[in-house]
Formats: sequence, C-alpha cells, structure tokens
Amino acid sequence: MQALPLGIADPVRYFHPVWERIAIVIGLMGAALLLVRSWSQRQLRLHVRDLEDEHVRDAERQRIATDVHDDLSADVSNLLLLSRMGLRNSAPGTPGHTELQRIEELSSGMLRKIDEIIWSLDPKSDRWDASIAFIDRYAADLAHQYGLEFRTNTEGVKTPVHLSPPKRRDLYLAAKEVLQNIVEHAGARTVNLVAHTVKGALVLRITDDGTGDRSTAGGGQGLLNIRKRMERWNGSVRMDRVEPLGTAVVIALPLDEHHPKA
Amino acid sequence: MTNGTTLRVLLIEDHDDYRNSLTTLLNTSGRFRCFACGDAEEGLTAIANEKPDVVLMDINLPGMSGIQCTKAIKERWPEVQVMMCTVYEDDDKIFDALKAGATGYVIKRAPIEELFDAIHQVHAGGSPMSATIARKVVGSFQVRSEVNGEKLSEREMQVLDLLSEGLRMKEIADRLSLSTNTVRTHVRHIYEKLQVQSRTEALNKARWPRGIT
Repeated sequence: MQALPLGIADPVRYFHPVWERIAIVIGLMGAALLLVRSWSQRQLRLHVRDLEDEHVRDAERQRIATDVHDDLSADVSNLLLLSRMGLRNSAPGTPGHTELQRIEELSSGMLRKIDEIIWSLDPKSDRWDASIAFIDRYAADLAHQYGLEFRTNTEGVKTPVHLSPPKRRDLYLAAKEVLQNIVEHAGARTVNLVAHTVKGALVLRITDDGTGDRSTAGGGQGLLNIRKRMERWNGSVRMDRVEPLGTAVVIALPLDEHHPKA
Repeated sequence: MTNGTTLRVLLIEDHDDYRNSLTTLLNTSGRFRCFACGDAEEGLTAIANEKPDVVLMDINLPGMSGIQCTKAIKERWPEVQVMMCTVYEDDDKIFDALKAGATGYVIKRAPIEELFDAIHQVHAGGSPMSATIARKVVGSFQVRSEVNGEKLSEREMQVLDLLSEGLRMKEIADRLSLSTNTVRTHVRHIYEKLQVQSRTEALNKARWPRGIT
C-alpha cells in the first residue's frame, strides 16, 4: 500500500477490501429495514388506537342516543298526549284552544326532530336498512299527510350502506327537500321512492306523477341546495322528465369504504 | 270479560306521567276500562287478577323487558292480545316483539283516535303492518321457511308484497277486492305464523345447537 496523505479522499476504498464493503452495505440496509419496521409498527399501533377510540366514541354515541330517547322523547310524548286530551275537551274558538293546538304541533315537531337526531347519532343506523328505512318512513308519512299515495322499492340495495353521520344527515335533508317540493308544488297523486346500490354508490330515485313545474319552484333554490349538499361528498343530483307524466329526481352518493369494527 | 263494547285494557308503562295521562284518557273515553302498572312483574300479577282483553305494553321496561313479558303472557294467557307501545319506530325491537307474540303496535305519537281504533282492531283479530316491518317479515320467511316448514299462503304473500311496496291497508283492500278487516286478518295470520316459526327455531336451536345438517 502506498503512504496516505492526511486528507483521505476515499476512506472506503482505502480501508476496506470488497467483502467488508458488502458487509457495510448490508449493515446499512439492515438498519434501514429496522427503521422501516419500527415506523410501520408505530403506524399500526396508532391505527389500532384510532379503532379503539372509534369504538369508544360509538359506544358513547349510543349512550347519548339512548338517554335522549328515554328521557326527552318520553316527556315530549306526554306533552303531546296532554295537549291532545286538552283539545278534545275544548271547542274551537274557546279560550286556550289555539294555544293548545300550537302546543300539539310543536310537541309533534319536537318528536320528529329528536327522531332525526337519534337516527343520525345511532351507530345502528350504519346498517343499510336503518338508513334507508328512516328516509323511506319519512317519505311515506309526508306523502300520506298530503293525501298522496306512496310506493317504495329498496330491493336494489344489495350492499351494506355505510354512511358517516354527517353524510347520512345530508342525504336525509336532501331527500326531505325533494319530498317537500313534491308535496307542495308538483300536483301529484303518487310519489315513488326507489333505492339501489351500484359500484360503491347509493342511488335514490324519487319520482312523482305531477304536472307542476318544479324547476323554478322556490326560485330554483331547492335543487341548488340539494346539489351543494351532495357535491360536498362527491355525490350528484339531477332532475329528469318522466314519460308520460311527472318528474324524477335522482340522487347519487358514494358510500363510505367499509372498515371492520373492533 | 268485556261489557258490551267496553274493552278491558291493561297498560304496562314505566313513565309515570305518561301512564297517568293515558289511563285517564282511556277511562274517560267511554270505550275502555283501563288498569295500569309500572313494570312487567306487576303486569303479570295484574293480568291474573284483572283478566284484560288487551295489554298495552311499553317496549322499553325496567327489569323484565317488554319482549320477555310478551312471551310470558302468551305462554300463560294465549287469548290475551298484546300491543306494543313505542316512542321511537325501532323496527328491530318491534319485529322482535312481534316474533315473541305481540299482535300489534302503536307509535305513541299517533293521534288519539288511531290509538283507540288500534286497540279495538287488535282485539277484533286484525293487525297493522308498516312497509319496513313487511320487508323484515318477507326476509324472515325467505330464509327460514324451508327449515321450519312455516309457509305463507298465496294471499298472505300478496298482502305482504303490497305492504312492502308501501301500500296502505285500504289500498290493498281495494286492489285485492277485499275488506280492510280481511286484510288485517291476513296480517294477523302472518304474525301468528311468524311466531310459530320463531318458536320452532328456538326449539331447534336448543335441540341441535350446532345446526341441522
């Protein structure tokens, strides 16, 4: 070996023959692998903790839902019953009758609102029939309230419908707006609700057989709000004419990817 | 025993105020004679003493649940009709109650006249069914009819399908050229078959815990 100058330019080539060089490279790779492994184990631990947190949050949501249901709904049901009993014993035009009617309407409205909140909080509503069933039931009630017939077909919902609470709520509010629009403006006799799943999306098709012009109802605001709600989740809305008579509003919403619960 | 058309009703409801309000309402209607108690255990004792025609039972009770109580009532007094009373339209719980022997259900926020009619109908042999419950019943018979041998008649299947589609009793009656009462009777028979199916399934599970191969 030749004598070394003090500033050694290439220590590896100088100090180590080939096999020791390979050993160093393997050692470095080993160290890198250990680092990657420890990083991915940490990710896994964080993921498991997220799942546990979610499980705890789910349990908490369920507890709140149950408490709200038991305490609040029971009391409001009682209010509703008392107001109705009062109305039976008081004739229209007599003092207090109008106020009792208002109490009845408000109590009834409160019960629906509590239902909606519980539904959006309750983890059981992650199941497909609970989500669609709630919207279905609302649609049926509203249609019947306005004297319309109601038809429903949800057999096309083949996969579990996983919708996070805010998404589920937006879907419900969108459907609610469409239905309000129909009962108020469409001049229809029948409302039809068909739900099916296709390629990881839920499609809701609400049809009516009315002649009313709905595109400008509410100054066109109705559909705009619905579109905004759905586009928030990469969903879509469109309105089609139906032959021979009526309109169909089609809402499409991508489902959440299924994640296994702890 | 009934006195003319005055039905004897036993109310099992744990919410004190609501129980008092409803008891007063039923007793002042001229159509019912209502006794009330606050839990299932008290209820079972009261049935033996008062012999009601219809039991109106809250689905959520402290101690023994409304569903367990329904089973107990149907075992000891099969002629008593049990109607579940619920605040929230929890299809699962309602469906479980129907499998356990209930023959009707009311949502507490239903108008008073609807509540009265429902009690009379359930005593007269008719039952209500919503579209969502109908779908659950359809599913139940599709999966289980082969194993447990309980099958629906063609007419019952027709009624069930139309209910699943969202038609109401009156619409189904018109469509099938029947009276509304007949449609309700068909629904009653469907519930009875559902209950038999459920009892058979429970027996099979006890006899063959690992399933029939």
